[in-house]
Amino acid sequence: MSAGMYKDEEGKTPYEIFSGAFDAGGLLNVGSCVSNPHIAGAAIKIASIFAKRGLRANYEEIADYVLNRVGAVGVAWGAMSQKAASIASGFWRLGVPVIVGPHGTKYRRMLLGRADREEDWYVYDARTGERVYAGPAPEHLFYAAETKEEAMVMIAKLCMRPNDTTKGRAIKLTHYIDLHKRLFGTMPKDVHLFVRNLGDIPITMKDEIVKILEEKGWKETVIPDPTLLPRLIRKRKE
Amino acid sequence: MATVEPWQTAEIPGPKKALVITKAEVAAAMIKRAKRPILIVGHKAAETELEDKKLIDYMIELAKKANIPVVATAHMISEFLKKGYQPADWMPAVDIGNRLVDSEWSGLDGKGQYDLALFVGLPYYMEWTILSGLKHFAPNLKTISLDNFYQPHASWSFPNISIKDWIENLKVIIEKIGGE
Repeated sequence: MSAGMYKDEEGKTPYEIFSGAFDAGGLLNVGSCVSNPHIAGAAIKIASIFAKRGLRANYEEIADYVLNRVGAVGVAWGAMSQKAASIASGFWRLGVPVIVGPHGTKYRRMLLGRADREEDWYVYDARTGERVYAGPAPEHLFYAAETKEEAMVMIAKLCMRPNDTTKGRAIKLTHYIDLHKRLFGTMPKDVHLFVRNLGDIPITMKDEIVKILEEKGWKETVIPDPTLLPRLIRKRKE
Repeated sequence: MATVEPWQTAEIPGPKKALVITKAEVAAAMIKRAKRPILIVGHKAAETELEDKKLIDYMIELAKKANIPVVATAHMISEFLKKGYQPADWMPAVDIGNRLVDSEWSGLDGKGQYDLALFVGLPYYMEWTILSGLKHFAPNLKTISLDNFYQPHASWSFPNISIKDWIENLKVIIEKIGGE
């Protein structure tokens, strides 16, 4: 709420500068803690509206949908109450990664993925029943960043999901690589894990990334219709 | 002699507390004796001014002399690169903490787990919790905190010392590591 106290040269508050629409670059005050579930509600609605997933007694499918498809990331910077921490836990339970500040380690709980373990990152392709490597996306579900620079890079990285379209993945990779280069001063070391086919590569960085892929012995994979639930496989493989 | 109390008094570390490094030569000997040491450098190393140098300069010198692989956390990789030093790897602090707990992790170079982890430059409370995790869940790993605050969850730590004493200690460690 104190964000409304800041005004730019034209006397506008951040709420007037940025749109409150459910769109990129939007800024919305969702009210007090008890109103925060509206944010999770927006993610749940995506599963309901776009994929027609039933909302009643269907948490498993909704969370599977959000984890694998909805590129949302929560950031809770600064010291938080137990109540606020429990709201954050509601997000990661739904499959939305949560980034907290360095004080967040005091919650004594991190949900960290291991990008170096390839076997951890397989999903079912609901179309064929095949198990497909989908990359470490999202790599972590609850994560404490040491600095704001680290958090900014991680926000871009944790937006990636197995179901990203090539266009979507290219945009997300652009953001990730651009922030990494600007704040970390170098190319990310895990770019090859997030490229499924050559269409995923941001056009402006094509030469640079193709060279990295060759060095890493990268192989093209399919973009799955991802799920972790065997019962959602439409055609079972014998 | 500085008091051997945690710098952050509200947190209670439990009965098993870090041994205090009263002589820097002892820390140097421990680093020399370690078969697979690793140095984890947090973002404060680039901010902390130690007279005419920065903490990161001491760490680069230490890593070069002792031939210890360095993990740069947060955005420290850019600071190391600016100094013309290529760390062994860079990853978030919580990530390296998580990997050091895993006894099956093959290390940065694929040659197996580490036996000694040196921490420096992380925010005090963050280093506290990461060291706590290692103390409880990585029984074969020894840890040394090279910060100027007492970290009770490490295996060895400096007590709360002044910047002047800290510089002296770091100089002695670097000197002793380089010699016979």
